Amino acid sequence: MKRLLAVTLGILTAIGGFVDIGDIVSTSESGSRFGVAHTWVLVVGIIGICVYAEMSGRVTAISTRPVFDLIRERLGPRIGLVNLLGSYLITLLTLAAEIGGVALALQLLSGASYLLWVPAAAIVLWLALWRVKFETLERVFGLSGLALVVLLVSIFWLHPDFADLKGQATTFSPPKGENWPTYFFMAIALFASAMTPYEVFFFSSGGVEERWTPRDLTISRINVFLGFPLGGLLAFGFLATSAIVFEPIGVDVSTLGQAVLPAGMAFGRIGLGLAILGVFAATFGAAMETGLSAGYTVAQYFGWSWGKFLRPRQAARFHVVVLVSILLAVAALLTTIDPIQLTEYMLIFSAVVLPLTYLPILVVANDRGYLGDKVNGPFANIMGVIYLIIVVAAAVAAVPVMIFTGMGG
Amino acid sequence: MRATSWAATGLVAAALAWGGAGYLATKPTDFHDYRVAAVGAAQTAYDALASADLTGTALLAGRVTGPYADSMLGDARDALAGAAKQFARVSPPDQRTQKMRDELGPLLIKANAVLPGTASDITDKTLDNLKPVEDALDQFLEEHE
Repeated sequence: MKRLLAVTLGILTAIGGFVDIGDIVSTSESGSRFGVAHTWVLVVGIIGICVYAEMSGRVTAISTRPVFDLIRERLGPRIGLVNLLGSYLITLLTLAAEIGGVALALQLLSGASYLLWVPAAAIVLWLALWRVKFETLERVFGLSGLALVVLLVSIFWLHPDFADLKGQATTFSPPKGENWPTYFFMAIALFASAMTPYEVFFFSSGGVEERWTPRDLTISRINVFLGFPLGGLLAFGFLATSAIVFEPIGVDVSTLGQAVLPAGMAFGRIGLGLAILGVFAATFGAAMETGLSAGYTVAQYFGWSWGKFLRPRQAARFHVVVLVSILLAVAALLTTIDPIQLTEYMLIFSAVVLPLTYLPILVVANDRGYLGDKVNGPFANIMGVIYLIIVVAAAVAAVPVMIFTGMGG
Repeated sequence: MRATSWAATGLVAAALAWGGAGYLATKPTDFHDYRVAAVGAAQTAYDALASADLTGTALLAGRVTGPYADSMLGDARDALAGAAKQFARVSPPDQRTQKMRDELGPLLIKANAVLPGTASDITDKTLDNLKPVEDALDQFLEEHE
Protein backbone atom coordinates (compact mmCIF):
# COMPACT_ATOMS: atom_id res chain seq x y z
CA MET A 1 0.00 0.00 0.00
CA LYS A 2 2.81 2.36 0.96
CA ARG A 3 4.58 1.49 -2.29
CA LEU A 4 1.43 2.17 -4.33
CA LEU A 5 0.99 5.53 -2.61
CA ALA A 6 4.58 6.46 -3.39
CA VAL A 7 4.12 5.50 -7.05
CA THR A 8 0.85 7.49 -7.32
CA LEU A 9 2.45 10.48 -5.66
CA GLY A 10 5.40 10.21 -8.06
CA ILE A 11 3.09 10.18 -11.09
CA LEU A 12 1.05 13.13 -9.81
CA THR A 13 4.28 15.03 -9.18
CA ALA A 14 5.50 14.23 -12.71
CA ILE A 15 2.17 15.45 -14.15
CA GLY A 16 2.17 18.70 -12.19
CA GLY A 17 5.88 19.25 -12.71
CA PHE A 18 5.85 18.77 -16.48
CA VAL A 19 4.59 22.23 -17.45
CA ASP A 20 6.95 25.23 -17.36
CA ILE A 21 7.05 28.78 -18.71
CA GLY A 22 8.13 27.54 -22.16
CA ASP A 23 5.08 25.30 -22.44
CA ILE A 24 2.73 28.01 -21.17
CA VAL A 25 4.02 30.71 -23.54
CA SER A 26 4.37 28.56 -26.66
CA THR A 27 1.02 26.76 -26.30
CA SER A 28 -0.93 29.95 -25.51
CA GLU A 29 0.64 31.85 -28.43
CA SER A 30 0.09 28.98 -30.79
CA GLY A 31 -3.53 28.48 -29.67
CA SER A 32 -4.39 32.15 -30.16
CA ARG A 33 -2.95 32.25 -33.69
CA PHE A 34 -3.40 28.75 -35.08
CA GLY A 35 -6.25 27.34 -33.00
CA VAL A 36 -5.49 23.75 -32.04
CA ALA A 37 -3.71 23.12 -35.36
CA HIS A 38 -0.41 22.45 -33.56
CA THR A 39 -1.78 19.70 -31.32
CA TRP A 40 0.21 17.16 -33.37
CA VAL A 41 3.47 18.98 -32.52
CA LEU A 42 2.67 18.74 -28.83
CA VAL A 43 2.05 14.99 -29.25
CA VAL A 44 5.32 14.54 -31.20
CA GLY A 45 7.22 16.51 -28.53
CA ILE A 46 5.75 14.54 -25.65
CA ILE A 47 6.58 11.19 -27.27
CA GLY A 48 10.12 12.51 -27.88
CA ILE A 49 10.70 13.53 -24.27
CA CYS A 50 9.29 10.17 -23.13
CA VAL A 51 11.73 8.29 -25.41
CA TYR A 52 14.79 10.15 -24.10
CA ALA A 53 13.66 10.48 -20.46
CA GLU A 54 13.13 6.72 -20.38
CA MET A 55 16.70 6.22 -21.63
CA SER A 56 18.05 8.69 -19.04
CA GLY A 57 16.05 7.06 -16.25
CA ARG A 58 17.27 3.61 -17.30
CA VAL A 59 20.90 4.75 -17.50
CA THR A 60 20.63 6.24 -14.00
CA ALA A 61 18.77 3.33 -12.43
CA ILE A 62 21.20 0.72 -13.81
CA SER A 63 24.49 2.60 -13.45
CA THR A 64 23.41 4.64 -10.36
CA ARG A 65 25.18 7.59 -12.00
CA PRO A 66 23.71 10.65 -13.74
CA VAL A 67 23.69 10.83 -17.53
CA PHE A 68 25.89 13.92 -17.77
CA ASP A 69 28.61 12.28 -15.71
CA LEU A 70 28.62 9.30 -18.10
CA ILE A 71 28.58 11.50 -21.21
CA ARG A 72 31.79 13.18 -20.08
CA GLU A 73 33.41 9.85 -19.27
CA ARG A 74 32.21 8.07 -22.43
CA LEU A 75 32.74 10.86 -24.99
CA GLY A 76 35.70 12.62 -23.41
CA PRO A 77 36.19 16.07 -21.91
CA ARG A 78 36.15 17.97 -25.26
CA ILE A 79 32.74 16.80 -26.45
CA GLY A 80 31.57 16.92 -22.83
CA LEU A 81 32.59 20.58 -22.70
CA VAL A 82 30.65 21.44 -25.86
CA ASN A 83 27.66 19.66 -24.36
CA LEU A 84 28.17 21.47 -21.04
CA LEU A 85 28.40 24.93 -22.65
CA GLY A 86 25.28 24.45 -24.78
CA SER A 87 23.22 22.93 -22.01
CA TYR A 88 24.36 25.33 -19.30
CA LEU A 89 23.66 28.48 -21.36
CA ILE A 90 20.18 27.28 -22.30
CA THR A 91 19.49 26.18 -18.73
CA LEU A 92 20.57 29.62 -17.53
CA LEU A 93 18.23 31.33 -20.01
CA THR A 94 15.45 28.97 -18.93
CA LEU A 95 16.13 29.74 -15.26
CA ALA A 96 15.80 33.48 -15.98
CA ALA A 97 12.57 32.89 -17.90
CA GLU A 98 11.15 30.74 -15.06
CA ILE A 99 11.99 33.32 -12.37
CA GLY A 100 10.35 35.91 -14.64
CA GLY A 101 7.30 33.65 -14.83
CA VAL A 102 7.14 33.39 -11.02
CA ALA A 103 7.34 37.19 -10.76
CA LEU A 104 4.65 37.65 -13.43
CA ALA A 105 2.32 35.25 -11.59
CA LEU A 106 2.86 37.28 -8.40
CA GLN A 107 2.14 40.47 -10.36
CA LEU A 108 -1.18 39.00 -11.48
CA LEU A 109 -2.06 38.22 -7.86
CA SER A 110 -0.89 41.50 -6.35
CA GLY A 111 -1.02 44.10 -9.14
CA ALA A 112 2.55 45.19 -8.20
CA SER A 113 5.15 45.21 -11.02
CA TYR A 114 6.92 41.91 -11.66
CA LEU A 115 10.28 43.68 -11.40
CA LEU A 116 9.63 44.17 -7.67
CA TRP A 117 8.98 40.45 -7.31
CA VAL A 118 12.08 39.23 -9.19
CA PRO A 119 14.59 39.67 -6.31
CA ALA A 120 12.12 38.30 -3.75
CA ALA A 121 11.36 35.25 -5.90
CA ALA A 122 15.10 34.66 -6.42
CA ILE A 123 15.88 34.84 -2.68
CA VAL A 124 13.07 32.41 -1.81
CA LEU A 125 14.24 30.11 -4.61
CA TRP A 126 17.82 30.13 -3.36
CA LEU A 127 16.74 29.53 0.26
CA ALA A 128 14.52 26.65 -0.86
CA LEU A 129 17.36 25.08 -2.86
CA TRP A 130 19.73 25.59 0.05
CA ARG A 131 17.60 24.38 2.95
CA VAL A 132 14.58 22.32 1.83
CA LYS A 133 14.78 18.59 1.10
CA PHE A 134 14.78 17.55 -2.57
CA GLU A 135 11.72 15.31 -2.23
CA THR A 136 9.71 17.98 -0.39
CA LEU A 137 10.43 20.59 -3.08
CA GLU A 138 9.54 18.21 -5.87
CA ARG A 139 6.29 17.09 -4.22
CA VAL A 140 5.03 20.53 -3.12
CA PHE A 141 5.47 22.27 -6.47
CA GLY A 142 4.64 19.22 -8.60
CA LEU A 143 1.36 18.68 -6.77
CA SER A 144 0.46 22.41 -6.71
CA GLY A 145 1.04 22.46 -10.48
CA LEU A 146 -1.96 20.15 -10.75
CA ALA A 147 -4.11 23.26 -10.19
CA LEU A 148 -3.63 23.82 -13.93
CA VAL A 149 -6.25 21.11 -14.44
CA VAL A 150 -8.66 24.06 -14.19
CA LEU A 151 -7.71 25.03 -17.77
CA LEU A 152 -8.48 21.56 -19.05
CA VAL A 153 -11.91 21.65 -17.40
CA SER A 154 -12.42 25.19 -18.76
CA ILE A 155 -12.30 23.73 -22.28
CA PHE A 156 -15.70 22.13 -21.62
CA TRP A 157 -17.07 25.04 -19.57
CA LEU A 158 -16.45 27.54 -22.37
CA HIS A 159 -18.76 25.52 -24.67
CA PRO A 160 -16.61 25.60 -27.82
CA ASP A 161 -17.65 24.19 -31.18
CA PHE A 162 -15.94 20.81 -30.80
CA ALA A 163 -16.44 19.98 -34.48
CA ASP A 164 -14.53 23.14 -35.36
CA LEU A 165 -11.72 22.26 -32.91
CA LYS A 166 -11.53 18.76 -34.36
CA GLY A 167 -11.30 20.27 -37.84
CA GLN A 168 -8.42 22.52 -36.73
CA ALA A 169 -6.58 19.64 -35.04
CA THR A 170 -6.75 17.49 -38.17
CA THR A 171 -5.70 20.24 -40.59
CA PHE A 172 -1.93 20.17 -40.94
CA SER A 173 -1.55 23.62 -42.48
CA PRO A 174 -1.72 27.24 -41.32
CA PRO A 175 -5.17 28.85 -41.09
CA LYS A 176 -6.21 31.83 -43.27
CA GLY A 177 -4.12 34.92 -42.53
CA GLU A 178 -1.07 32.93 -41.36
CA ASN A 179 1.83 31.59 -43.46
CA TRP A 180 4.00 28.49 -43.52
CA PRO A 181 7.20 30.01 -42.08
CA THR A 182 5.29 31.30 -39.03
CA TYR A 183 3.54 27.94 -38.73
CA PHE A 184 6.93 26.20 -38.62
CA PHE A 185 8.40 28.81 -36.26
CA MET A 186 5.60 28.11 -33.79
CA ALA A 187 5.97 24.35 -34.32
CA ILE A 188 9.70 24.50 -33.52
CA ALA A 189 9.04 26.56 -30.37
CA LEU A 190 6.37 24.09 -29.21
CA PHE A 191 8.60 21.09 -29.93
CA ALA A 192 11.53 22.68 -28.09
CA SER A 193 9.30 23.51 -25.12
CA ALA A 194 8.43 19.81 -24.74
CA MET A 195 12.05 18.69 -25.11
CA THR A 196 13.93 21.39 -23.13
CA PRO A 197 17.42 19.96 -22.33
CA TYR A 198 17.26 20.54 -18.57
CA GLU A 199 14.35 18.11 -18.28
CA VAL A 200 16.42 15.00 -18.98
CA PHE A 201 19.43 16.13 -16.93
CA PHE A 202 17.16 16.96 -14.00
CA PHE A 203 15.27 13.68 -14.33
CA SER A 204 18.50 11.71 -14.32
CA SER A 205 20.23 13.65 -11.54
CA GLY A 206 16.97 13.56 -9.55
CA GLY A 207 17.11 9.77 -9.85
CA VAL A 208 20.53 9.80 -8.17
CA GLU A 209 19.23 12.22 -5.50
CA GLU A 210 16.45 9.73 -4.78
CA ARG A 211 18.97 6.86 -4.81
CA TRP A 212 17.43 4.88 -7.64
CA THR A 213 18.71 1.34 -8.14
CA PRO A 214 17.86 -1.23 -10.85
CA ARG A 215 14.81 -2.10 -8.72
CA ASP A 216 13.41 1.40 -9.41
CA LEU A 217 13.44 0.98 -13.18
CA THR A 218 9.72 0.23 -13.30
CA ILE A 219 8.85 3.29 -11.21
CA SER A 220 11.01 5.45 -13.46
CA ARG A 221 9.20 4.11 -16.54
CA ILE A 222 5.75 4.60 -14.99
CA ASN A 223 6.64 8.21 -14.15
CA VAL A 224 7.79 8.80 -17.72
CA PHE A 225 5.06 7.00 -19.65
CA LEU A 226 2.14 8.12 -17.45
CA GLY A 227 3.32 11.32 -15.80
CA PHE A 228 4.77 13.09 -18.84
CA PRO A 229 1.86 12.52 -21.26
CA LEU A 230 -0.66 13.50 -18.58
CA GLY A 231 1.50 16.56 -17.85
CA GLY A 232 1.39 17.31 -21.57
CA LEU A 233 -2.40 17.37 -21.27
CA LEU A 234 -2.06 20.34 -18.90
CA ALA A 235 -0.06 22.14 -21.62
CA PHE A 236 -2.84 21.26 -24.06
CA GLY A 237 -5.22 23.09 -21.68
CA PHE A 238 -3.43 26.37 -22.50
CA LEU A 239 -3.41 25.60 -26.22
CA ALA A 240 -7.11 24.78 -26.38
CA THR A 241 -8.42 27.57 -24.13
CA SER A 242 -6.43 30.20 -26.05
CA ALA A 243 -7.77 28.69 -29.27
CA ILE A 244 -11.34 28.94 -27.93
CA VAL A 245 -11.17 32.46 -26.45
CA PHE A 246 -8.61 34.41 -28.49
CA GLU A 247 -8.32 32.83 -31.95
CA PRO A 248 -11.91 33.63 -33.05
CA ILE A 249 -11.49 37.34 -32.23
CA GLY A 250 -8.00 37.54 -33.78
CA VAL A 251 -6.09 38.42 -30.58
CA ASP A 252 -2.49 37.18 -30.32
CA VAL A 253 -1.61 36.10 -26.78
CA SER A 254 1.63 37.69 -25.61
CA THR A 255 1.26 37.91 -21.81
CA LEU A 256 0.82 35.46 -18.96
CA GLY A 257 -2.31 37.36 -17.88
CA GLN A 258 -3.99 36.59 -21.19
CA ALA A 259 -3.02 32.92 -20.92
CA VAL A 260 -4.95 32.45 -17.65
CA LEU A 261 -7.95 34.64 -18.52
CA PRO A 262 -9.99 31.74 -19.99
CA ALA A 263 -10.00 30.08 -16.53
CA GLY A 264 -11.51 33.28 -15.06
CA MET A 265 -14.06 33.47 -17.86
CA ALA A 266 -15.09 29.88 -17.17
CA PHE A 267 -15.00 29.68 -13.37
CA GLY A 268 -14.70 33.26 -12.13
CA ARG A 269 -12.25 34.34 -9.46
CA ILE A 270 -11.73 30.81 -8.11
CA GLY A 271 -10.84 29.54 -11.57
CA LEU A 272 -8.53 32.47 -12.17
CA GLY A 273 -6.90 32.00 -8.75
CA LEU A 274 -6.32 28.30 -9.42
CA ALA A 275 -4.81 29.01 -12.84
CA ILE A 276 -2.45 31.63 -11.37
CA LEU A 277 -1.54 29.28 -8.52
CA GLY A 278 -0.83 26.58 -11.11
CA VAL A 279 1.36 28.94 -13.14
CA PHE A 280 3.19 30.00 -9.98
CA ALA A 281 3.81 26.40 -8.92
CA ALA A 282 4.79 25.30 -12.44
CA THR A 283 7.27 28.15 -12.92
CA PHE A 284 8.67 28.01 -9.38
CA GLY A 285 9.04 24.24 -9.65
CA ALA A 286 10.78 24.65 -13.01
CA ALA A 287 12.99 27.44 -11.62
CA MET A 288 14.02 25.01 -8.90
CA GLU A 289 14.72 22.29 -11.45
CA THR A 290 16.71 24.58 -13.77
CA GLY A 291 18.65 26.08 -10.84
CA LEU A 292 19.63 22.61 -9.68
CA SER A 293 20.29 21.45 -13.26
CA ALA A 294 22.75 24.32 -13.73
CA GLY A 295 24.63 23.10 -10.66
CA TYR A 296 24.34 19.43 -11.63
CA THR A 297 25.82 19.82 -15.13
CA VAL A 298 28.77 21.97 -14.07
CA ALA A 299 29.58 19.89 -10.98
CA GLN A 300 29.24 16.60 -12.85
CA TYR A 301 31.49 17.79 -15.66
CA PHE A 302 34.27 18.88 -13.29
CA GLY A 303 33.81 15.87 -11.03
CA TRP A 304 32.86 17.88 -7.94
CA SER A 305 30.61 16.47 -5.24
CA TRP A 306 27.06 17.55 -5.91
CA GLY A 307 23.44 17.13 -4.91
CA LYS A 308 20.98 17.93 -2.22
CA PHE A 309 21.45 14.54 -0.61
CA LEU A 310 24.78 15.93 0.66
CA ARG A 311 25.07 18.69 3.25
CA PRO A 312 25.71 22.09 1.57
CA ARG A 313 29.17 22.15 3.17
CA GLN A 314 30.02 18.83 1.45
CA ALA A 315 28.93 20.17 -1.95
CA ALA A 316 30.01 23.80 -1.60
CA ARG A 317 31.07 24.32 -5.25
CA PHE A 318 27.78 22.85 -6.49
CA HIS A 319 25.84 25.32 -4.31
CA VAL A 320 28.05 28.21 -5.47
CA VAL A 321 27.21 27.39 -9.12
CA VAL A 322 23.49 27.31 -8.23
CA LEU A 323 23.75 30.67 -6.46
CA VAL A 324 25.78 32.32 -9.25
CA SER A 325 23.31 31.00 -11.83
CA ILE A 326 20.39 32.51 -9.90
CA LEU A 327 22.25 35.84 -9.63
CA LEU A 328 22.96 35.86 -13.39
CA ALA A 329 19.30 35.10 -14.11
CA VAL A 330 18.16 37.95 -11.84
CA ALA A 331 20.65 40.33 -13.48
CA ALA A 332 19.25 39.42 -16.90
CA LEU A 333 15.68 40.08 -15.74
CA LEU A 334 16.56 43.38 -14.08
CA THR A 335 17.68 44.72 -17.46
CA THR A 336 13.83 44.92 -17.86
CA ILE A 337 13.85 42.44 -20.74
CA ASP A 338 10.31 41.09 -21.15
CA PRO A 339 10.26 37.58 -19.58
CA ILE A 340 7.88 36.36 -22.26
CA GLN A 341 10.22 37.54 -25.02
CA LEU A 342 13.11 35.95 -23.14
CA THR A 343 11.15 32.68 -23.11
CA GLU A 344 10.60 32.90 -26.87
CA TYR A 345 14.34 33.34 -27.48
CA MET A 346 15.11 30.58 -24.99
CA LEU A 347 12.87 28.15 -26.89
CA ILE A 348 14.47 28.88 -30.25
CA PHE A 349 18.06 28.63 -28.95
CA SER A 350 17.05 25.56 -27.01
CA ALA A 351 16.00 23.98 -30.32
CA VAL A 352 19.48 24.78 -31.69
CA VAL A 353 21.31 22.88 -28.92
CA LEU A 354 18.91 19.92 -28.70
CA PRO A 355 21.21 17.58 -30.70
CA LEU A 356 24.05 18.29 -28.24
CA THR A 357 21.84 16.95 -25.45
CA TYR A 358 20.15 14.01 -27.11
CA LEU A 359 22.88 12.44 -29.29
CA PRO A 360 25.18 11.69 -26.31
CA ILE A 361 22.26 10.17 -24.38
CA LEU A 362 21.58 7.81 -27.28
CA VAL A 363 25.27 6.82 -27.36
CA VAL A 364 25.45 6.18 -23.60
CA ALA A 365 22.15 4.24 -23.62
CA ASN A 366 23.75 1.80 -26.10
CA ASP A 367 26.90 1.21 -24.06
CA ARG A 368 26.98 -2.28 -22.51
CA GLY A 369 29.80 -1.17 -20.23
CA TYR A 370 27.30 0.93 -18.29
CA LEU A 371 23.98 -0.81 -18.88
CA GLY A 372 24.83 -4.50 -19.43
CA ASP A 373 21.79 -6.23 -20.94
CA LYS A 374 19.61 -3.15 -20.29
CA VAL A 375 20.98 -1.27 -23.31
CA ASN A 376 18.50 0.11 -25.86
CA GLY A 377 16.49 -2.52 -27.67
CA PRO A 378 15.68 -2.18 -31.41
CA PHE A 379 12.46 -0.21 -30.71
CA ALA A 380 14.18 2.29 -28.40
CA ASN A 381 16.94 2.75 -30.97
CA ILE A 382 14.53 3.23 -33.89
CA MET A 383 12.59 5.83 -31.89
CA GLY A 384 15.81 7.43 -30.68
CA VAL A 385 17.17 7.78 -34.22
CA ILE A 386 13.84 9.09 -35.61
CA TYR A 387 13.77 11.74 -32.87
CA LEU A 388 17.40 12.58 -33.42
CA ILE A 389 16.59 13.33 -37.07
CA ILE A 390 13.64 15.53 -35.99
CA VAL A 391 15.80 17.27 -33.39
CA VAL A 392 18.56 17.98 -35.96
CA ALA A 393 15.98 19.28 -38.46
CA ALA A 394 14.53 21.60 -35.79
CA ALA A 395 18.03 22.76 -34.80
CA VAL A 396 19.01 23.58 -38.39
CA ALA A 397 15.73 25.37 -39.17
CA ALA A 398 15.33 27.30 -35.89
CA VAL A 399 17.51 30.38 -36.48
CA PRO A 400 16.73 30.88 -40.21
CA VAL A 401 12.99 30.63 -39.51
CA MET A 402 13.37 33.00 -36.55
CA ILE A 403 15.12 35.61 -38.76
CA PHE A 404 12.78 35.11 -41.71
CA THR A 405 9.61 35.54 -39.65
CA GLY A 406 10.99 38.23 -37.32
CA MET A 407 10.40 35.99 -34.24
CA GLY A 408 7.13 34.67 -35.61
CA GLY A 409 5.70 38.14 -36.16
CA MET B 1 40.29 19.75 -41.07
CA ARG B 2 43.26 21.76 -39.77
CA ALA B 3 42.97 24.43 -37.15
CA THR B 4 43.90 27.16 -39.68
CA SER B 5 41.13 26.00 -42.05
CA TRP B 6 38.64 26.09 -39.17
CA ALA B 7 39.80 29.58 -38.25
CA ALA B 8 39.50 30.78 -41.87
CA THR B 9 36.01 29.30 -42.21
CA GLY B 10 34.98 30.92 -38.94
CA LEU B 11 36.36 34.30 -40.05
CA VAL B 12 34.55 34.13 -43.40
CA ALA B 13 31.28 33.16 -41.67
CA ALA B 14 31.68 36.00 -39.16
CA ALA B 15 32.42 38.50 -41.97
CA LEU B 16 29.35 37.34 -43.93
CA ALA B 17 27.13 37.57 -40.85
CA TRP B 18 28.51 41.03 -40.05
CA GLY B 19 27.96 42.21 -43.63
CA GLY B 20 24.44 40.77 -43.71
CA ALA B 21 23.53 42.41 -40.44
CA GLY B 22 25.00 45.73 -41.66
CA TYR B 23 23.00 45.53 -44.90
CA LEU B 24 19.74 44.79 -43.03
CA ALA B 25 20.39 47.59 -40.52
CA THR B 26 21.09 50.27 -43.14
CA LYS B 27 18.72 49.19 -45.93
CA PRO B 28 16.22 52.00 -46.67
CA THR B 29 12.57 51.31 -45.77
CA ASP B 30 10.46 50.19 -48.73
CA PHE B 31 6.71 49.68 -49.07
CA HIS B 32 6.86 46.11 -47.78
CA ASP B 33 8.90 47.07 -44.69
CA TYR B 34 6.53 49.91 -43.88
CA ARG B 35 3.45 47.73 -44.34
CA VAL B 36 4.93 45.07 -42.03
CA ALA B 37 5.69 47.72 -39.37
CA ALA B 38 2.21 49.28 -39.68
CA VAL B 39 0.40 45.95 -39.54
CA GLY B 40 2.52 44.89 -36.55
CA ALA B 41 1.68 48.08 -34.67
CA ALA B 42 -2.03 47.82 -35.55
CA GLN B 43 -2.13 44.15 -34.44
CA THR B 44 -0.45 44.98 -31.13
CA ALA B 45 -2.87 47.88 -30.53
CA TYR B 46 -5.84 45.70 -31.43
CA ASP B 47 -4.62 42.91 -29.10
CA ALA B 48 -4.20 45.42 -26.26
CA LEU B 49 -7.70 46.89 -26.66
CA ALA B 50 -9.45 43.56 -27.18
CA SER B 51 -7.71 42.06 -24.13
CA ALA B 52 -8.63 45.10 -22.04
CA ASP B 53 -12.20 44.70 -23.29
CA LEU B 54 -12.34 41.00 -22.30
CA THR B 55 -10.76 41.76 -18.91
CA GLY B 56 -13.09 44.71 -18.24
CA THR B 57 -16.15 42.67 -19.10
CA ALA B 58 -14.96 39.88 -16.80
CA LEU B 59 -14.23 42.40 -14.02
CA LEU B 60 -17.70 43.95 -14.20
CA ALA B 61 -19.17 40.43 -14.05
CA GLY B 62 -17.06 39.73 -10.91
CA ARG B 63 -15.08 37.00 -12.64
CA VAL B 64 -11.58 38.47 -12.19
CA THR B 65 -9.92 40.43 -9.38
CA GLY B 66 -8.91 44.11 -9.32
CA PRO B 67 -5.13 43.46 -9.11
CA TYR B 68 -5.38 41.05 -12.04
CA ALA B 69 -7.27 43.65 -14.11
CA ASP B 70 -4.72 46.31 -13.11
CA SER B 71 -1.93 44.05 -14.29
CA MET B 72 -3.69 43.31 -17.60
CA LEU B 73 -4.32 47.01 -18.21
CA GLY B 74 -0.66 47.78 -17.41
CA ASP B 75 0.41 45.16 -19.97
CA ALA B 76 -2.00 46.63 -22.54
CA ARG B 77 -0.67 50.13 -21.92
CA ASP B 78 2.96 48.97 -22.26
CA ALA B 79 2.12 47.11 -25.47
CA LEU B 80 0.40 50.18 -26.92
CA ALA B 81 3.32 52.44 -26.05
CA GLY B 82 5.73 49.96 -27.63
CA ALA B 83 3.63 49.73 -30.81
CA ALA B 84 3.40 53.52 -31.15
CA LYS B 85 7.15 53.88 -30.62
CA GLN B 86 7.95 51.20 -33.18
CA PHE B 87 5.58 52.73 -35.72
CA ALA B 88 7.01 56.21 -35.23
CA ARG B 89 10.51 54.89 -35.90
CA VAL B 90 9.83 54.14 -39.60
CA SER B 91 9.17 56.90 -42.13
CA PRO B 92 6.79 56.34 -45.04
CA PRO B 93 8.82 55.93 -48.27
CA ASP B 94 6.02 56.82 -50.73
CA GLN B 95 2.48 58.16 -51.09
CA ARG B 96 0.75 54.81 -50.46
CA THR B 97 2.52 54.43 -47.15
CA GLN B 98 1.87 58.08 -46.23
CA LYS B 99 -1.84 57.27 -46.54
CA MET B 100 -1.29 54.27 -44.30
CA ARG B 101 0.41 56.48 -41.71
CA ASP B 102 -2.45 59.02 -41.86
CA GLU B 103 -4.92 56.19 -41.17
CA LEU B 104 -3.04 54.39 -38.41
CA GLY B 105 -1.43 57.32 -36.57
CA PRO B 106 -4.72 58.80 -35.27
CA LEU B 107 -6.01 55.30 -34.43
CA LEU B 108 -3.04 54.64 -32.17
CA ILE B 109 -3.60 57.99 -30.41
CA LYS B 110 -7.31 57.16 -29.97
CA ALA B 111 -6.45 53.68 -28.66
CA ASN B 112 -4.24 55.23 -26.01
CA ALA B 113 -6.96 57.70 -25.04
CA VAL B 114 -9.77 55.14 -24.63
CA LEU B 115 -7.74 52.49 -22.76
CA PRO B 116 -8.72 52.61 -19.05
CA GLY B 117 -5.81 53.45 -16.74
CA THR B 118 -6.69 51.18 -13.82
CA ALA B 119 -9.33 48.65 -12.83
CA SER B 120 -11.28 51.34 -10.96
CA ASP B 121 -11.73 53.26 -14.24
CA ILE B 122 -13.57 50.36 -15.84
CA THR B 123 -17.29 50.99 -16.37
CA ASP B 124 -19.78 50.01 -19.07
CA LYS B 125 -19.13 53.37 -20.68
CA THR B 126 -15.34 53.00 -20.83
CA LEU B 127 -15.80 49.55 -22.36
CA ASP B 128 -18.24 50.99 -24.94
CA ASN B 129 -15.58 53.52 -25.90
CA LEU B 130 -13.14 50.71 -26.73
CA LYS B 131 -15.38 49.07 -29.34
CA PRO B 132 -15.22 51.65 -32.20
CA VAL B 133 -11.42 51.87 -31.99
CA GLU B 134 -11.14 48.08 -31.89
CA ASP B 135 -13.34 47.84 -34.98
CA ALA B 136 -11.35 50.50 -36.82
CA LEU B 137 -8.07 48.71 -36.06
CA ASP B 138 -9.59 45.42 -37.15
CA GLN B 139 -10.66 47.01 -40.42
CA PHE B 140 -7.18 48.47 -40.94
CA LEU B 141 -5.71 45.00 -40.43
CA GLU B 142 -8.13 43.42 -42.91
CA GLU B 143 -7.24 46.02 -45.54
CA HIS B 144 -3.47 45.84 -45.19
CA GLU B 145 -2.60 42.35 -43.95
